[in-house]
Amino acid sequence: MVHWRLVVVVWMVVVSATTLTQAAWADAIGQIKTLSGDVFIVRENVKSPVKTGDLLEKADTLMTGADGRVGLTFIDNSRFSLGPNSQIALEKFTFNPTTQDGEFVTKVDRGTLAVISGHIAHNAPDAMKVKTRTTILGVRGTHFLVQVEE
Amino acid sequence: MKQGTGHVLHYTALAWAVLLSACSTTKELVVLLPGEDGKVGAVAIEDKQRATILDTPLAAAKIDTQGRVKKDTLTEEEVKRTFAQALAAQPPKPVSFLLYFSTKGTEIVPESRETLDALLAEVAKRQAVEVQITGHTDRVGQVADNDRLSQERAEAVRDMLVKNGLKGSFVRTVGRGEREPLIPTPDEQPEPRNRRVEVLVR
Repeated sequence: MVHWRLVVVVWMVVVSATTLTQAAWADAIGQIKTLSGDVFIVRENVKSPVKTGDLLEKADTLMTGADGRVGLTFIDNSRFSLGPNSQIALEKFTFNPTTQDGEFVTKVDRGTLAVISGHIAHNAPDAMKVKTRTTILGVRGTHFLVQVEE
Repeated sequence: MKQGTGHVLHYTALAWAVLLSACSTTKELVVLLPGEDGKVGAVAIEDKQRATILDTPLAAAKIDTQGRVKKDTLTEEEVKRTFAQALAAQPPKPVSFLLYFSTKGTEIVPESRETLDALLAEVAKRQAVEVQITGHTDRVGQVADNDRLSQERAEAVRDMLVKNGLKGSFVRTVGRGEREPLIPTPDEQPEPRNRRVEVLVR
C-alpha cells in the first residue's frame, strides 16, 4: 500500500516536472547566458538559485549576491547584465517575432545594470522602459548603464 | 507621564532619522555608452516637468532622491569603477548566418560551406547557445510544396548542427516557404538568393 502511494507520488512529480519544462519553454522570454557567484530568481514568490541556460519568464525578479553577476539575453535580442548586490524585476514583456513589435518594462530596485537594447526598442522609441526608484528611462537605443544605490 | 512623552519623541525622532538617512543615501546614475556598431543611441530620463536626453558618448545623468537630474560626462575610469562587473557579465552579440541551397534541394551550395564552418565555430564557442533556424524557398513551385521544402531545409541545417555536437533543446526550426523573399520576384521565377536558411545564434 505504502509502495503504491510512493509510485503514485513519483509519477505525479515526473508528470508535473515534464509539464513545467514544456510550459517554461513556451513562456520563455529569455535565458541566462553568463553567471558567476550567487544568482537567484524569484518566481511566484519562490526564490531559487539559477544556473547558465535557465529560462526567464515575464514577471521574474533576478537578484545577485555580493559576489554574483549574471548576463541574460531576451527573445528580441536585448541583452542585460547585472553586477553584484543587484535586483531587477521584469515587469512587462511582449514580443511579436514576425513584426518585431513589443513592450519591455524593467524595474531596477538596486545595484548595477548594463543594457544593450534589441528589436523592441529599435522598432518603437517608447516601447522599452527602465524604471528606477525615482524616474523612468525611455530607451531609444542601444547601450547604457544604470546604477541604483541604496 | 513626562518620561512617556520623552520616549514617544525619542522614537519619533529615531524613525525620522532612519527614514531620512534611507532617502538621502539613495542615488541613481544613468550613463550612455557608444553602441557596438560605433553609433551612439539615446536615453531619455523622464522627469515630471521635462525630459533629459543623453545622446553623447559617456553622457551621464545623476539623479537625487527627489528625482532631480544633473547632467554630466564621465570618464572611462569612472564608468569602470562602478560598472566593471556588470559589463564583464554582458553576453556576446547574437549573430546571423545565411546558407544557400540548390533548386528544390536540401543540400547547401558549395559557396555556403565556409559560412557553415563559421556557423559551427560560433555555436561551439557560446554558452547556453540558442539557435533559431528559418528556412525559405524561391517562388518556383506550389506554395504548399515550398512550405514543406523550407521546413526540410531548416531541419537539414539543424541535423548538421546536432551532428556537430549541438544539443537539440535550444534549437528551433521554422519553414516560411516562399512568403518572405529576400529579393522580390514574379511567381515561378528561380532566384538563388531566396533559396536560403537564416540561422540566428544567440
